[in-house]
Amino acid sequence: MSCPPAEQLLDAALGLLEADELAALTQHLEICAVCRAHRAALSAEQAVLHDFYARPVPSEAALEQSIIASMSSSPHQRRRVSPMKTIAIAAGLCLAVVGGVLAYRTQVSEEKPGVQQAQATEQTVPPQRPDESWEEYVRKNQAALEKAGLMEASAAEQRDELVMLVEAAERLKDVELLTQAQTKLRLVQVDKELGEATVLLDRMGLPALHDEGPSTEAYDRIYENRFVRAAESPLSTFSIDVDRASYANVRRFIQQGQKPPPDAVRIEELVNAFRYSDPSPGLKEQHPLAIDVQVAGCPWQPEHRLVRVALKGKELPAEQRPASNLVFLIDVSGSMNHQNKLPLVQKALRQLVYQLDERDSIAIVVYAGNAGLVLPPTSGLRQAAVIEALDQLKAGGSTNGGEGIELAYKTARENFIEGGINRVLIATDGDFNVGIADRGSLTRLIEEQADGGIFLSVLGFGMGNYKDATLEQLSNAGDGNYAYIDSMEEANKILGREMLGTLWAIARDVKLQLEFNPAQVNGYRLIGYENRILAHEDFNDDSKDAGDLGVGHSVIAFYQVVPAGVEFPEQVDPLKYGPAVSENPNPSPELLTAKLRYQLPADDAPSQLLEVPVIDTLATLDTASDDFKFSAAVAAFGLILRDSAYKGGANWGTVQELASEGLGEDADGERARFLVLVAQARDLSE
Amino acid sequence: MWGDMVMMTAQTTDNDLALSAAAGDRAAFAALVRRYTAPLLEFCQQLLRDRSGAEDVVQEALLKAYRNLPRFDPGRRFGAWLYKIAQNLCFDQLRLRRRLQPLPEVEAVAPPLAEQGFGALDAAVAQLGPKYRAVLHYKYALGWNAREIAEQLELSPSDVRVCLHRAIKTLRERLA
Repeated sequence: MSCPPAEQLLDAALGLLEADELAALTQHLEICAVCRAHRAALSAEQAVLHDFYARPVPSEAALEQSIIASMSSSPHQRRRVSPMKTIAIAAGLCLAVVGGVLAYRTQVSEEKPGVQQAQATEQTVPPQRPDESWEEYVRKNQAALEKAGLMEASAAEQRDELVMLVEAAERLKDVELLTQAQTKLRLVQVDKELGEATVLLDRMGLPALHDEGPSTEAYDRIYENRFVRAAESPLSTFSIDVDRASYANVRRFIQQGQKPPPDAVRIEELVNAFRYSDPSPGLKEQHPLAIDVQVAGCPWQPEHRLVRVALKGKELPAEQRPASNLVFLIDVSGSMNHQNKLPLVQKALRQLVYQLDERDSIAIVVYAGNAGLVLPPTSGLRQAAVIEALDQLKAGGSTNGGEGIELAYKTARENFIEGGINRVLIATDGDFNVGIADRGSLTRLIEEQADGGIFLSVLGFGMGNYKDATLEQLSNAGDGNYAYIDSMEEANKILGREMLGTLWAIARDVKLQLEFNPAQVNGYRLIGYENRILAHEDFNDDSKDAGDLGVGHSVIAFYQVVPAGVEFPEQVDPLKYGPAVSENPNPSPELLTAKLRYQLPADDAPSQLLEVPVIDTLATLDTASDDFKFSAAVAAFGLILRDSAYKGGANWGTVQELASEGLGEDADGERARFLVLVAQARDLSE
Repeated sequence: MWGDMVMMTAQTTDNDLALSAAAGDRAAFAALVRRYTAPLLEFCQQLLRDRSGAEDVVQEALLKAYRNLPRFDPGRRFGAWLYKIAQNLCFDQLRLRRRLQPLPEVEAVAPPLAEQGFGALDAAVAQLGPKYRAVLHYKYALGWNAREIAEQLELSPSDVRVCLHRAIKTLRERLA
């Protein structure tokens, strides 16, 4: 009888033989010493493997504790919170209730039990959770917390947030976390100034807990510009803003059947989200941008005038575009594992890649548990390679940072293109944890890099755009732009059609200053741009930063003007000593002068000045251009959504009528889609 | 913190605990965490060869299991389910890492293993592919049979056999 193959002996040692095979083999082993020896050797081998794998495993009590501690109320509602985020939320919660630190939280009065609950954590006495089940605890306290304005019972997502908050507060029992949270808290208390506190609150990532009502924490409060008397303050100065994140965000709220929180509505970003056919400077023109001012009747306040200031960047042929060195910094943490996050990032960035060519280079850095260079700088010619690298990305792992942003900047630096577009584009869901814990150093890093010619763009993805204010501020620090991408449609628009234009700045530090003629103007109000207001003396100071204008981009600003002789809308006592300037015996017929300053992107030459005097021809709204009508409709839409004190007679009908009249050519269909959105918003409010 | 809420004996099965946990009993899940954290960490370390990465995966796997408890099929073994979650997270990690540069170095042999005479074996195992490492771990650390391993890795039992044969052959060559 011949010996069985060696494989069969190994199978036997591995316990893989069927009963009949085993029986036959056993028989053979009895008579064959060679096979017996072989079998014994294999058994010894198996024993070593068993011993190796069965060696005692050290206890992992600390890890167990940390896992148990990060479990939330019930399996159904579990949402993962990284320890840092938990601290941030806990500290943020403490901060939010430190009596009166934040003006907009003052309406949360102290007799509300939910707040007392939270205040307890601030005094380092953690709330005692009685001997009842977790659900019971949350359920019992739900009403109180709701009353405190901390939660909206209707939305499961927000309830989830609340559970996280309660848990976070409870977690302060953990000494290490407590120390960290207290440190942060102290930090906050040092900077008691309202503005500082708001910034810190954003940094700590306090999520928006309720999306209605006047106080949503994650959006910076917008204090609307007021009417100003031209005689007292004839100058109005601001920086342009080319962002339009607010429009996509507002659209998301409306499409989900929710009213957007007023502070999420930045009117200038809504207006600037559309394309306008304002005159752009010809190719031979000296200045790379043109300014055009139109005046017509104010749709929501018939006795007032509406002044529309339009800037338009020069349209340049694509061949003239400078070479670009782009580094995508992509958040691949577990939270990005959602249909409208990482997969959308991949598809969206693809739109941008398609427009690149041999002049360009793209690199991809990801961050999650680790940061890594997924794609070294690769020529824009090798689009397939870039897209393949993008497609391979998978979300997973915790967002404990890493050196993502530093690696991205380092990569961009190594590949720096002199005179080109050097830019880092961050794609994140707003869980903006790129390895630098404190926001001060992060902002500094971004500013330093911007000074060194590498700019930052922030692309926000996903639901719950909680860090809206943070992301916008970071992109501002990096002389960058911020877009919120909620759909493929928006991705096509922002990254497909407009990104290169956005990246390709033709003018930087663009500032506008309007001087109103008190002889013609009683008062005026700048609509929007609340966070872009500059001091009047900053206008001529080239060291003061302002927004950049991209190729072919439009920026629109509206002023509502109270003509001379029409009553000033705000209650102010008449001046006891008369007007500051004596009456001019020969009043100018001009309504205003619009002045614009800009610098060229690639040189340090002093800023150039453009000046346009404007005379009000008393044109009526009917005769205004399509662009005037449509953009005014969008502004009115914003005023209604904000429930602005200045919305006057604006109503949904006004918006629909004006927008339809101003539909124009609407080559990209955006204006028609706006009309659909207005109808949805109208349904929501009625 | 939660362990005192429910009396639990060593005999309470994993599946009983999982069912209680699915019904909202945190203490039950905490008990499962205590049972599984250390062995799961060992498993993930075997696959990832990186202690901190393994800790992350263990944490994520347990929390993922916790979140998905309502979907746990009581007809399955909880352990197998949990290991599968961890295994897939590890494979994802490894796939991601392959795209990352610089590649994380294979971690040096831990001194205790060397002291136990396992240093060379550990290094040899480290050089096997992740799937092989998973098969070996299921087989020797957990004592699963070929059918169970096959199910876990979505292979056929004969694939598992081939894996085992190849792994052992490679180890022999490396250790020779």
